[in-house]
Amino acid sequence: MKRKTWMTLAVATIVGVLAVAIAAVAGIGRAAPTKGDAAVKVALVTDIGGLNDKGFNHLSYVGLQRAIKELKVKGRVYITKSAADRKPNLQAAAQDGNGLVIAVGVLFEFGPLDDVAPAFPNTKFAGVDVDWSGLTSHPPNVRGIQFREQEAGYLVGYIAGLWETRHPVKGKMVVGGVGANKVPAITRFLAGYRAGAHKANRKIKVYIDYANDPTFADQAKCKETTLNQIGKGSRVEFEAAGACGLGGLSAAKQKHLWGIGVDADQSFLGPHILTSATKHVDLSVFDAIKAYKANPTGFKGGFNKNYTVKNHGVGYGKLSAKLSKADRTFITAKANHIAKLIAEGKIKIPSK
Amino acid sequence: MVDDERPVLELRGVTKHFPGVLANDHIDFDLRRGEVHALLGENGAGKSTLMNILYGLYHPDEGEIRIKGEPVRINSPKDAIARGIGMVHQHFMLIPVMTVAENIVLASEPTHAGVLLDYRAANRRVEHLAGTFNFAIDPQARVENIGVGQQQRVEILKALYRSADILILDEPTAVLTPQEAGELFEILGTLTREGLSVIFISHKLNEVLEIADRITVLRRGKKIGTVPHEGATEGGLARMMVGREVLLRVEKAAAAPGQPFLEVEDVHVLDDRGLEAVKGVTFDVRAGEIVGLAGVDGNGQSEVVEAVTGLRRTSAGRVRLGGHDVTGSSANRILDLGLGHIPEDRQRRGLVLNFSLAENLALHDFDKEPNSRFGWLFPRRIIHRARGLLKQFDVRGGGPQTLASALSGGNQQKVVLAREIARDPRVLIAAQPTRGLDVGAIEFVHQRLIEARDSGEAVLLVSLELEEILSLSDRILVIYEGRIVAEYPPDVTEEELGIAMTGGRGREAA
Amino acid sequence: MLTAVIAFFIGGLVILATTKKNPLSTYRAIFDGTGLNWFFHVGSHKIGIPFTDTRVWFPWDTASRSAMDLQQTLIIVTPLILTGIAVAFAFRCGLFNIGGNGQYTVGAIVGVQFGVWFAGLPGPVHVIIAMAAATLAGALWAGIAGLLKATVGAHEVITTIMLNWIALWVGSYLVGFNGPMQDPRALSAPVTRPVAQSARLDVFWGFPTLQGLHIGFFIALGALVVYWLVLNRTTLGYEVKAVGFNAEAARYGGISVPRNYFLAMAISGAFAGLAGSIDILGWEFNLDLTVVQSVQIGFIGIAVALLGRNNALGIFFAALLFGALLTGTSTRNLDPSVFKPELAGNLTQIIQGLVVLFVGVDLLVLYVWRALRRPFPRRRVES
Repeated sequence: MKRKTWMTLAVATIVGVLAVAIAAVAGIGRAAPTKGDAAVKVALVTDIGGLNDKGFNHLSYVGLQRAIKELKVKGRVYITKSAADRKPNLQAAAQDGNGLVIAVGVLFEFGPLDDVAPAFPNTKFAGVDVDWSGLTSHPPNVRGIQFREQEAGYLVGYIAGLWETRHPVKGKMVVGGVGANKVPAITRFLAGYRAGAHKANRKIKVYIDYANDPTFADQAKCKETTLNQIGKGSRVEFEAAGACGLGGLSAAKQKHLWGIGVDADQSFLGPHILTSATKHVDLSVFDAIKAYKANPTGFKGGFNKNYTVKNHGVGYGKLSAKLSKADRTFITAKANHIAKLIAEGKIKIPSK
Repeated sequence: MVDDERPVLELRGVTKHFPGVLANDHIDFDLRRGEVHALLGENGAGKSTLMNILYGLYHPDEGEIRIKGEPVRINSPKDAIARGIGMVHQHFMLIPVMTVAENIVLASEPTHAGVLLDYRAANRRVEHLAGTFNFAIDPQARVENIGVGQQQRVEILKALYRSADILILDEPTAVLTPQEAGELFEILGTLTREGLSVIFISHKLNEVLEIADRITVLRRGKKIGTVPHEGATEGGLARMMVGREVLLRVEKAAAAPGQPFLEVEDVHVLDDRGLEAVKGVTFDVRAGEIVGLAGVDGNGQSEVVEAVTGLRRTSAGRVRLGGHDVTGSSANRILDLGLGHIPEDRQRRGLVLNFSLAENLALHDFDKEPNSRFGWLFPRRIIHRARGLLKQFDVRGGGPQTLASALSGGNQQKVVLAREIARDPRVLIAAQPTRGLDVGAIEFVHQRLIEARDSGEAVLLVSLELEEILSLSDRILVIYEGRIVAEYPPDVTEEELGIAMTGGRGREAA
Repeated sequence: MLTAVIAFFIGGLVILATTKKNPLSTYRAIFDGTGLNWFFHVGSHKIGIPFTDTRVWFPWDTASRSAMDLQQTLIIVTPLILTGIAVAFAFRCGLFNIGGNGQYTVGAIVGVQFGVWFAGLPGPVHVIIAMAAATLAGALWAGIAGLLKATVGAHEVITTIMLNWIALWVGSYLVGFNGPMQDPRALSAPVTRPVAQSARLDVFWGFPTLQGLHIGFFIALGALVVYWLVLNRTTLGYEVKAVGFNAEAARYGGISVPRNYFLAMAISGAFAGLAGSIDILGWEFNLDLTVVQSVQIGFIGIAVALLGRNNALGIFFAALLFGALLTGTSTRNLDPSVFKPELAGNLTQIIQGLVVLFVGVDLLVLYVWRALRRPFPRRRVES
């Protein structure tokens, strides 16, 4: 009993002393945020996962850094480590005097932006992957940023189809696409993929399957689904599945077949990557900052900015170095032509 | 007994303080060549501290140590060994999976090329050593497979192997049967004839008188005196130890047994390994009598006690308590039916050492009025009741809020005793109630047990101490290999009991 | 607590080694970020008494930025106290509950579902129903481990770790894409429907929409009192402690050890489940997949219990320390010129890890300390 009291007292005192000591060193007080700074200040609020996630958060950070370098804006990152950080980060970003606050990730749509944006009507917000129409408070100072994934899917499907047409095996032409889970963005990628492959050749067989991985991170599941399709004769595998898809891509590598990456240009994975369906999050972030810098007060919200082939928001990535020169020239020419048609709105691409 | 001109070991004014305690207060001690010098004292008298100083485990605050006339500084057991001091601790420091020889040569092994252990050389040396001192021991036996007495011999040989000529034995008989103790004394005789000197630490008067040439008594850190073997008596030594007259023989009136309160009928019990440790035991304990259950440790007495108290399942048989069948009942129900149990290991089972004394005293009835109501404890009442009990049972060294771990062994046992006796049980089971206690505390425990008997309780006394069994019991049962092999009246001799305990023929069980 | 100081000291060396910055200025920045410096900004302000229109004089500015930081710190401290208690209570029974995280998750799932259901109930009733359900769910979840321990002796460390994973994946299924709990309006995000207004906890400090401090903080403080009372003033606490200190003696004393294993785990889980529901009803309002998969509250609770020595007041201060570390090192509070945002989070983890490590070895520290203070007789002889 005695020992316990002693311990309690000791804990209490030392914490107190520690706090006071640090406070004393701190000199009590924090520099007030400098006001009247001429430079344009923007903030990026990432989602859980950190800056080194090799995906979404990373790409958005790349966009911010480019803006800092090229547009000479002041930029600061607010990293979200847990759900408890989302709202305070948005709020702090606004309070710190950033004129534009870019939130990265769909989860900001459900609560955080709805609650914080109306409290700071003079601050502009943008939400990557956020659908403005899903915000219940309809804030006029928030801009949604959305991507037309079906266009990227269409292009890589077309490229896959071209390759199959030029290299049929016993007259058979089969390609596959794997999604992590049936969510709108993934469905759009794959719907475009199927349509693109058929555009290249009507007779191509296209398998579309979902790995049913809600986490987008279970590589084993995508690998299994991919191997299944390979077993049915597929020789080009598109993985619209985030980190889950890495498992599918490695399966393709093992079987000496083609894989197609997603989101970022995944050609760095090796020459087995035929191409990638790219989604330029970095560009969207840079664009938003550029637009804001050009005219801070005129930066409009209340709608979704769509990224398409036309504005280079989506597209296809580097072709594999393994392709023969003839294949490369042929595919590049045809794909670029189709891309032009898409940009001109001359091709209707299904989104489901 | 060779009386040399100067002592092999002298301690002059050795003093050691611990925070709040003066453990050794200017102690003088000397040891002659070829003698057994007993160090006698109650628990906490400072015997162990003094020997730990000698063995280099503590440093004295004052005083000097001389070995063969030369002042020395002993900083570690290594120094002590180098000076020819060997110590056999109460708890053996042996490695069970290694052989006797390996244990003995440990840390100074004979090797091939400095790397590989030379087993043959080790065995040879140990055999030679054992032969010199007339020890019967197999160097190649594994330590885990030999008995406690043999293990002790290994410890002694270990010291001899390191060329000890001063041997410290810390309570060496605590773990031995009377027969094994006798063998140990023979060995000590051989050693002293060979010129070794032995310091024999004990608190048992009879064995000190049997073996020691001189006896030094310590009390509360002070040396009370040194007496030669000749003319020393148990009474005199006890008075020196405790500082007052001690009743060594328990005074008790004849028993007046009433109805059987505890009936055990053909009980079989399995031990932890699933082997049958109790193979059909039948006995009863009547109101107003003390039944002693004698036996060498490990013959099933612990399992009998656990079965009766509901702490272990019986595999067959019946147990009745005050007429209620309690076979297979929970410990809680058995306690409620009026059982008091002084467990054989007070630290493992009898007390929650991190609980206060008050909390320990409420261990059985914390959930009953007045200690609690509707699950809500009333600490004040618990403390209040504890204060009374601590006073009544003369517990020293702390109040109701002191942690049990802070008390000495004797006082801890008094707490257990207070709790069990204060419940006014119908049946009181006392398993080794005086283990590790000193003379004063033993006297106290014995008196309390007699009082319990006289107030009409049925007392079952389980003990490894024959003297205790003989002086307290009204009837004596002998348990051997899980069976009751004999029953005696209290006037049986120690020898006869000893024979029955080791499986020899005794009078048949009634 | 010495351990925490040492951990900070070594953390400081790490800062120095990796960034060549002055650790003191870094710690100052962290401390400012926790909002605890709010207490030192004494001035004259008027504040409203929560839930009334009255305004009274108050020495602190309740609307400053550091006030907001302090609110965020205390919002995190709230579940940390509860998961700390969850671990500590089991510890007191000699059990190591690693499953705080799973129990928290289960509590959050049940809390959000009950918050979505029964919309329209009077506020307090709805809140109590949702919290009670979550508490019960946490208790049942941990109770599984307790039951396995009590009946077949399965080690609770193994079973609670397994239950963590089960909670994580079942939660991922329920909340994730196309899961039964996913918000039908939000097909593009793995998130549940938000809980009804009636189930949300009142915010007593800060803006309700901007994640102000909710009354769950007081529930956590109340839980500390309950924890202390149960342990020290009830027969249940007595039994749990007896079993924890010496199960054999408890058995001898007539206490059912298996029963207490079960109860201790269940009660332990109840606190963690409550923590999950308080986070949902206090500020999260919905549950998303990232939370289910990345929550660490239960694990930090282990550190809280260890550092707090399983003692009510100790748990409070340990939770405050860890909560403060988490908000203090968040990038919104650390000026990037003082400390790079990428490193700030890692520093928290380093300090947390060091604290846990040193809690384990503080006996060693004390031993070394004593050894240093002891005079060396050997030297005296030589001199």
